[in-house]
Amino acid sequence: MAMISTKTNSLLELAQFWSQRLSPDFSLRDHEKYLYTPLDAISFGISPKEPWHRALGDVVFHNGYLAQGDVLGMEDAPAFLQEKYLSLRQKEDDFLCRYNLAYSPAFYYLPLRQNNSKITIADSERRHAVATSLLCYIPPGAEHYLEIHNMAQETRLSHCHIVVFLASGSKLQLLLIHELDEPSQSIVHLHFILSVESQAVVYDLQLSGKLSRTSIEADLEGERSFFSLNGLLLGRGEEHRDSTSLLIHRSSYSESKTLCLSLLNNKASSAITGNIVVEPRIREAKAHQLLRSLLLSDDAKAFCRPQLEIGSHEVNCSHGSSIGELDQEALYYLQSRGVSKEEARQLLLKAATAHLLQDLAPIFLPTTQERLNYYLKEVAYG
Amino acid sequence: MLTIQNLHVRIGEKEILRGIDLTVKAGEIHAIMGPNGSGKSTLSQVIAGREDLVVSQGSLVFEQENLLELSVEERARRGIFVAFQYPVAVPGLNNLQFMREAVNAQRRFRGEKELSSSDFLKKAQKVMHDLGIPQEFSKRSLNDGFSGGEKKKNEILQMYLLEPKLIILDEIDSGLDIDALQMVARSVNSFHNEKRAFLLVTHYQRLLHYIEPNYVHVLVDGKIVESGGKELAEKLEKHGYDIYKNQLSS
Ligand SMILES: Nc1ncnc2c1ncn2[C@@H]1O[C@H](COP(=O)(O)OP(=O)(O)OP(=O)(O)O)[C@@H](O)[C@H]1O
Ligand SMILES: [Mg+2]
Repeated sequence: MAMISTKTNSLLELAQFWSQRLSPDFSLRDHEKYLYTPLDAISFGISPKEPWHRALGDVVFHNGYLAQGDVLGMEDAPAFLQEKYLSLRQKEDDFLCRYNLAYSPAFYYLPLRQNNSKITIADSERRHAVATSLLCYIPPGAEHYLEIHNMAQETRLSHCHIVVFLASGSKLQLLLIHELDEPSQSIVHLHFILSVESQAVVYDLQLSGKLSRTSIEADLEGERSFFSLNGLLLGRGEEHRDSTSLLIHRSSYSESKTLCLSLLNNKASSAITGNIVVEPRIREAKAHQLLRSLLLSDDAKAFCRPQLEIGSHEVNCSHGSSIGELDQEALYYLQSRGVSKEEARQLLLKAATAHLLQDLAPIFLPTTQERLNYYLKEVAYG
Repeated sequence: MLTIQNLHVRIGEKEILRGIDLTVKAGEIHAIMGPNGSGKSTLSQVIAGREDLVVSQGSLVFEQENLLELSVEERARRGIFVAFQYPVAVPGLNNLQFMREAVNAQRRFRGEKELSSSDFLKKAQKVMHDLGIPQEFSKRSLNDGFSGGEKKKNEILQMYLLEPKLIILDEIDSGLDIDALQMVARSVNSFHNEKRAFLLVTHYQRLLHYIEPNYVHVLVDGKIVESGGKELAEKLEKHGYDIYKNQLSS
């Protein structure tokens, strides 16, 4: 993990730079508006109007826009958000995440016109680092599909922090794609706060780039809230993939599912850590976790660590992890029908991902299908 | 079509096949019978090209080509098909999608145009209909959750779609109910023609009631100890393999 911590210094500088330049000059009087308009989301972070934005990165919002003057200072934020901020700040012990929340004094209101939105983080100017912070609010009862596509190019480090509040009864499917060019690195931190009966389903596809890392924290605060993480980590060459999740069951009848799979060839490596915490006095929580790695070469390395910390008796939890190779018998069987070894590998890799991606929303298929085939092939051929 | 001479095969240190001679000509049907563990599946798999089988002596020639120099998929592309005694299940890999990949891999090799999804689907549906295989086979994952008999039917479906020349069926009759056995036998008979040859590995004479072999070979302890016509199968049914075992040990 040395690679991440050495980059931390430059991020600190970046954060300081950012906080000096940002001033909450604007305010939005009628907060109520965004709280009650269905299918609205708030984003927090970089304004394309400001010149300093160019030093920080290009963030493209699809299906939405930044409304004129819709910028909120922290002071003006609704009380409940302020509280969340404070509590978040106290809870964070990951430095990389803390700076964003601590130093960014403004956030932006992003009205979403449809029930789906896409954010592309791309860096076209070969910068040292790109930082992005977003805060999304999914209003009560709303159903939303959010796609975040991190496509940094020739970037030493792209760092993105996203906080998502799910109001009661809301539903979100979030597709996160790390698709970087060979030398780039990206870290995405996602923090979910789930209210009563809300549901968040996350697909984390780490497809390419020297280093990618998704760290996820989910607070299942409301009763009957549901969180599911489906992670697919593809690595070849000397790439590294990393997935860390901390799911905290803070309420009764909450449910979480974690399914994480890394497929590695050549000298690639992956580290998958899953932590599930069930707080004391919680009734009938369910948590299932399965972490897997498949190694296609002797030099690939995988690390899986499932962890359960259960403070209550009335829970239904299961966890497991495995590190293995492709089934040689299956490989041989497929080849005996005339497909080459590489084609057979590709088919087996695809088969291994099928279960993980079976419930992916159809709206995401155009973005994912061909990409996945392409990168699975890259991994299969090594 | 296939010429096997003095073939010796090892798995690790253990010699499983100890000098096999067998010639199969186009249009012929050969049956291979023998006790458990005698090497029938090993013979099937060494023809298919299984990598952990070590050929220590002898030759394996298919249509003038030395099979020992060809990989598993290269053998398949030249028209060799082995229905496995234990077909492998691959959860998550759609049965028909896989067959399309395989058919197209073979077509590419032969310089033919690949089949589109819809053309392939039409063809597969017709074959399934003709064979009496339920259409739901097309939606399921390759052999995943298939019953023993369903797996065998699926091997027959693959055979029809791949249109091979040399077909080796390793205990295709095991696990089949009476109707399924007749269905498999019928489809083998209708697939058989003067350009194709079959090698049937079986324990029971029953299959040979429906599919008439030109030759029956008895494999005991890695050697073909007797060859004959179909009457040999009847003899085996009556007397078992004891006479051969006694011969070998003396
Ligand atoms: N991977 C292996 N390692 C060691 N021995 C093996 C291996 N595979 C097969 N054998 C042995 O080789 C011998 C021949 O096996 P084979 O499967 O060819 O028999 P068979 O005639 O097909 O038997 P059956 O009628 O039970 O299918 C057996 O003694 C078996 O135990
Ligand atoms: Mg056998």
